[in-house]
Amino acid sequence: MPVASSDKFQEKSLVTGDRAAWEELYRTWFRKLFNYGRKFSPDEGLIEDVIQDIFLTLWQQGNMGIRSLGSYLFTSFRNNMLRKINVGRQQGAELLNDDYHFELQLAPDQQMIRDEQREENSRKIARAMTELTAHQREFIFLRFYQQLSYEEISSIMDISVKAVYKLAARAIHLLRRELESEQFMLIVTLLFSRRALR
Amino acid sequence: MEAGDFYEKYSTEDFILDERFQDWVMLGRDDKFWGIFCRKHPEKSDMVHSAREFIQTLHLLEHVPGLEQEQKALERFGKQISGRSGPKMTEINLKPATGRKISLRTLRRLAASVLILFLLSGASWILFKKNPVLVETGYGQLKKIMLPDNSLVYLNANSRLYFEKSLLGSFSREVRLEGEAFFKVEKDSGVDGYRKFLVHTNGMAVEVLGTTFNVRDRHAVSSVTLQTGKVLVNMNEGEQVTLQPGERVEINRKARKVVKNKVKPEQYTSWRNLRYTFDQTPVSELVRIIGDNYGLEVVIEDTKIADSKLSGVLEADNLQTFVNAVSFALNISIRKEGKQLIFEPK
Repeated sequence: MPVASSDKFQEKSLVTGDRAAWEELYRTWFRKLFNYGRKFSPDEGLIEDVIQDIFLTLWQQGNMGIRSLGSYLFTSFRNNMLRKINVGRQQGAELLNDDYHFELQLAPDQQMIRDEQREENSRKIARAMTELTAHQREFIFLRFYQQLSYEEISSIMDISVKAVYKLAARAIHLLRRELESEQFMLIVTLLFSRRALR
Repeated sequence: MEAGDFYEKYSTEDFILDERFQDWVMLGRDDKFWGIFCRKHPEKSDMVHSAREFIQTLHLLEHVPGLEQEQKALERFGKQISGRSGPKMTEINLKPATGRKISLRTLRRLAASVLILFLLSGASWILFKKNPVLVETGYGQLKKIMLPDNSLVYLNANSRLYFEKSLLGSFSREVRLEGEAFFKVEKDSGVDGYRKFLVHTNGMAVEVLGTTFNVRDRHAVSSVTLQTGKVLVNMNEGEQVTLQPGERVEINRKARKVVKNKVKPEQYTSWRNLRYTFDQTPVSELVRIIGDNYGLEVVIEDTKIADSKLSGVLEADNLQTFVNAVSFALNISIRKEGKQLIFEPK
């Protein structure tokens, strides 16, 4: 779901401050952030608390100086989430930027007609996904699911745009390596079988 | 140099990593540009095709909160803001002032051309694109979900429900279930008669029009219990079973056995009201419930306990209440040790 398209309505609602609009805003973002949060942790109570906190802050402070509500909510949700997870885990230790959990799964195929090749590809990508770092997986989620731009991702994950590009290249390379290797094998076997025929 | 000429030198991976290319695949943006590019560079069509396919394979799961969970959170938020002062934002205006008045005719024309542009540009695709959704419950958790077609699903503990829906809320009436759920399916009239609703599990697909029924798929055993209406159960081997209200079918994939019998449906469906209905139910069934729904292993220290049976209705919204009721009914003592529940004589 792109952030930009729904921002218009939401910004208006912040200005008027009417209750129904706030509830609508909360409902929409509760779902989005809940989904994002579940990738960090299965603790749904914790996720709800974090959403509650950032919305209360938003309500009290207003949207002064906030350029994009979407980026703001994603960023402050992520920061709060990571802080809470870290407090629960080990007191005192500084949170390293890549030292967190981020779970990402592909959706199972719903299609009635089965496409063997496609299924095989998804299986391979799903397997390769487990080998990515949390950072790389989070990039995949923010770009290919939330459809945020490289620039927005850079501000949410608090790294430079250049670093986002590097992250992307590494992640895609790892995911595709699995697919490529198999195709190469296929060519080799074809060559061999041809020779055998001769 | 014409803008975008560097794309000629792109590899499949370069395309996948390109933001503009991604936006085209995901959002249908720049459709015209990419159309021209593909026509001008037929030698690139294989790469463009596999890059597109790769991006589309990155079909990620969505976690959705339960209906009640969402409602509770909203109420909590509402309560908290009603006691506090609202946002101070009288001075900021994020929307440009609308000073000029536009006539209704211009507005109508504008709307029409925007609509045509929107449809032509292929951007409308985003509204119809199906996104995968997952609703999941942990141990001791229960969720109530309203599907886009107004059908209701009660998801039992330790279960997962997958389906797809678009931004506009279009929904194929097809879901996949792991674990246990109770369905209340609404009839939906399509173009040619009623549209069917499908529930897939590992071993079967349940086909209905509008009914209430329970589906369970755990440990290679799938079962369907019908409360009202009529359902058709398709098994993997192409066999079919039709159920009448009060009938239950159990498919054991390991033993390759299919059993159909008459039951009291409440016994299999009352869990959704946090109520367990027992009727001469063996202790082994309790062991299963505790394992599936609370993730605990039961150790029975006495054969007499293992052989006893239980009748009655037990209401429990948490493990403690459940255990208390069971220990009272069986007149035994139950203690918890780590991930184990020990049943022993008093």
